[in-house]
Amino acid sequence: MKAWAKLRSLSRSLTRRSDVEQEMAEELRFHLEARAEHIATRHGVSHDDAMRQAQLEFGSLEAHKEEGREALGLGWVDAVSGDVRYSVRQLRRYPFFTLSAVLTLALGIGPNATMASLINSVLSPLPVANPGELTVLATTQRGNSRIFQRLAYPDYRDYRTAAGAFADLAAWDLNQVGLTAEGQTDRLTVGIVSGNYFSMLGLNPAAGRLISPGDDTTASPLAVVLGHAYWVRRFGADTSVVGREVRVDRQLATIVGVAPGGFEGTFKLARMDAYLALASMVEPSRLANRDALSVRVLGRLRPDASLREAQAAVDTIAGRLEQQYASTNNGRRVRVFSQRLAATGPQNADQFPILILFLMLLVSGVLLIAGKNVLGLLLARALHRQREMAVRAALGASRWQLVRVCLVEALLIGIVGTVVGGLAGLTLARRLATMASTPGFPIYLNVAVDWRVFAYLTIVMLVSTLVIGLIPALRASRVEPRGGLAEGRTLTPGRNRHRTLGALTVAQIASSVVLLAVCGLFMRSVAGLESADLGFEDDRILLASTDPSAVGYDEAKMRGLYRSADAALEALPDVERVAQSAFAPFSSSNSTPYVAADGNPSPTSLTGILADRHFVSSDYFQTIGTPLLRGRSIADTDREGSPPVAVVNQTMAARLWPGENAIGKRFRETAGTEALVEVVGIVPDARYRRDEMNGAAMPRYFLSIDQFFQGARVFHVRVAGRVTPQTTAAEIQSALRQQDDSVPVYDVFPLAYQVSFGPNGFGGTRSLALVTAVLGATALALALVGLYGMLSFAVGQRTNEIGIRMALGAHPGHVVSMVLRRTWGLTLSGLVLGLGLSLALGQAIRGLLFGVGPYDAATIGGVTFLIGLVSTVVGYLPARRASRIDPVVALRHE
Amino acid sequence: MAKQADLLQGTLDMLILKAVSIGPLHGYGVLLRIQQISKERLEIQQGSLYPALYRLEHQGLIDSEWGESDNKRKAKYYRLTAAGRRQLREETRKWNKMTDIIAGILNAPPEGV
Repeated sequence: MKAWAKLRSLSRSLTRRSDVEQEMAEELRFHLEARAEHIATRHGVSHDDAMRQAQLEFGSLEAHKEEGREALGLGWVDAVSGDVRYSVRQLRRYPFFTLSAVLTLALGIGPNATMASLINSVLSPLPVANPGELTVLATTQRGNSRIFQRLAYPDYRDYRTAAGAFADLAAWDLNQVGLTAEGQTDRLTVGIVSGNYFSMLGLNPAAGRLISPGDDTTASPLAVVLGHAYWVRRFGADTSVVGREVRVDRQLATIVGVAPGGFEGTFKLARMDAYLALASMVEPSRLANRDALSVRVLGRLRPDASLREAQAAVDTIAGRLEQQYASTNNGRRVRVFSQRLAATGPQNADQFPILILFLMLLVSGVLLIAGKNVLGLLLARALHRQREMAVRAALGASRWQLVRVCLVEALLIGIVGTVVGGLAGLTLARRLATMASTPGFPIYLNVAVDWRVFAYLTIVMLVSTLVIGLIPALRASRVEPRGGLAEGRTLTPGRNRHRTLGALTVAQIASSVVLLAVCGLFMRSVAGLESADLGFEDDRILLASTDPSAVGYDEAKMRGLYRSADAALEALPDVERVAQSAFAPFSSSNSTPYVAADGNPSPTSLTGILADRHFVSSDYFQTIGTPLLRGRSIADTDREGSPPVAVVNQTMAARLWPGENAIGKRFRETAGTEALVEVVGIVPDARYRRDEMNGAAMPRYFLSIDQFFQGARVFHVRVAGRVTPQTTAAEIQSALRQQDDSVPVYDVFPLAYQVSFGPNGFGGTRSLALVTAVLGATALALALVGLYGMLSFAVGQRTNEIGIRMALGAHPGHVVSMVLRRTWGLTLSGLVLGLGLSLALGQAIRGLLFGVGPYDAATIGGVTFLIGLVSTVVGYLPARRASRIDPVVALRHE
Repeated sequence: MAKQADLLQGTLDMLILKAVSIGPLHGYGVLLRIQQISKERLEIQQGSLYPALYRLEHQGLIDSEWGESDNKRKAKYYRLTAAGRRQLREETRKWNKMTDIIAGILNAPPEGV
């Protein structure tokens, strides 16, 4: 009650400050006049005398006004604003000090802002009703450590009807389609969603209606819901598009509505351009198959249910399904994840917190180092202003007032530094998010700066300011007016101070060693990945993708197009050879059915071996440069109607027919036909996936793309040795477009690019190397500045002593080595501490490294050499200055 | 004659509330009224009156408004708010209870203890 009244009164006083002052003056003037009148009439004196009398009685007007302000709660406001004005004046008087402190702090805050906003944009809740209740369900298989992102559709139906801890479950998946409207075809990323998807999320349409259960049957007409951003971009937010007829992969469809603004789908790394119903886009036979993991599943917990209860409920049903459908579900379980941790896919959910922690640890390290430098600056300044403090103390300022002045100054530096660093960091985060989306890999991350990032930066700012500001504040305010005013040696710090600064410098060097060592490990990982033999010549191949089915080509027409495109490309002088496949190595698409050798029962997820399946044209192996070990390659004669054949890799041959010659043997696969496939050739184990880089190759087989027809294709163009894939890209793209310019040609880039930079290639490791390199360089630079400052300070303090030593005959070289010994002592301690920490950290991030362990001699040696070299250079500068001290000048200085 | 210095802490606030409870007053009027009610036995230090008024207003116990004084000059008038009225009632009750207790102690005959 009272607090509220006070707050109201305070805000009124603050907003109408000049009125308050004026009214106060007027009121007191009225008082004096009334009093004087009173005195004049009662005692019969003149008005002037009466006024004098009244003023005498009243006392100091200013003092009472001050008490009045205090009473209005304005006391501390005035005090703080006085401090702020004073500090601003002080900071402007020393622009060099202020600028270095602000910039140093900004360098420390910047990476924090970048990382926090990136992590926040992945972790922030979806813009749906009660996002905290959302979960992601994923399949696991006994005896397999992998987490599968999808559930079998029939399993999903069973969980949906039976799991009591959930309010509802919804199924969805990602797909790409061509959408034709007004004669223009766009290739879109679409969400294929179950009928209850939008109602489960609690969303309302921006226009028209959303996908409903009525759309999600095989009999329903094809309904399209546009994503809000696509609607704005493509149709100018025109509401009349609702009801319009369009074509989706050439099928007639109707736009029925627009999804709400801000909602971009339920996967954080992509933005859905449109939504279609599940039943209209996925084969009914695939949805009916309990052995095919066909849909991603989201669950909404009942408001009173916990994740643990949901897991228990799911476990019960999984157990029942295992018994009921033993042939497909034996050993199959479902794990429930919080949607936030699974925002980039449930398979990352376990690694995700570790990665976040690791990245935050790195940026905190940089902040720590920067903070120490600012602390050093403020400490030096505290020493410098002891005289000023002494004057203030002598004038009656209390210790608290002195501390407050220093703290306000640190806070000002903190605010400006945080604003500068924060803005730079957030800009960088946006740049990074768009840079991550390289051509062909449409990663989309919406970096929104919301209150969470703001709150985080405010807390970081307050904590660092308090830590950085309090120590110098306490030190500066610890003054004896007499001692402080007397110029002289009392200003020299004791041994204690040196020890604190020394320890801080060691910590600083250690932090930068950790960052550099981690960076070294990632760079070694990238180098290892790059130099690894992939088993094909990725630097000679240009990729180009096309999908004629998006504009309504049927199979016969596509075959014709591919034949003539192939011929047109081979006719180009810069092209050596051309092949086609359904997907390229290290791409995001893949197909992994289970296989079993002929004579064994039909493969299922339980009995079969998981194999990587590719569809390739006849010249494929010669084109990408993989030699054939035995047998023959896929040939033009392997077409529809001829017996199905496959080329397998060594691992597959060894797994299915250990110790036997695989040529002529036959196997079956789960997906697709039940036909027996005959092995006609064997190729060496090449690396097609990132997870093969650190371990064994996967069983892999190649079918004839003409025998098992695939519509969307990736052309693999081997260019002549005298040109590069990059330089021929335009030529090849236009040759393909000439076939039929309505057919979309996309993702035209060298295969080496996909391998080195793609998200399914080495892009992630490369990014980590880049991030740690930037942070490491920043940290090293800051640590060197800190070391230099500390040494210069120490030399400055010891000018006298060094002067005496020199006067007594010390050689300049002796002085240099004295300072350098101190440098090396600090550096060595930091190095040992830092390397110890980085070994522990390297152990924790083992899973992110390739071909290199945490105990990497080259990394340790490199970091040691680098730190040793630069610290010696940095130490030599003050050392040389010390050796040139003139004894006479040094001693006279006193 | 009791001086302000002799007033117990917080007593001035109570007296101000009482003074304005009878009707709106300007600062000097508060002073005069307290003196009048106390039959000139109590004199308030003039300077300390205003901080006390501001404090009470800050706490929402009194309210102010500019008006015209008897001799046609602009003056700031204070009146009691509902919260102030409650506070005055409560303070009065407490005060009476306290004086009763203290009077009881001071007047206790020695043999009764």
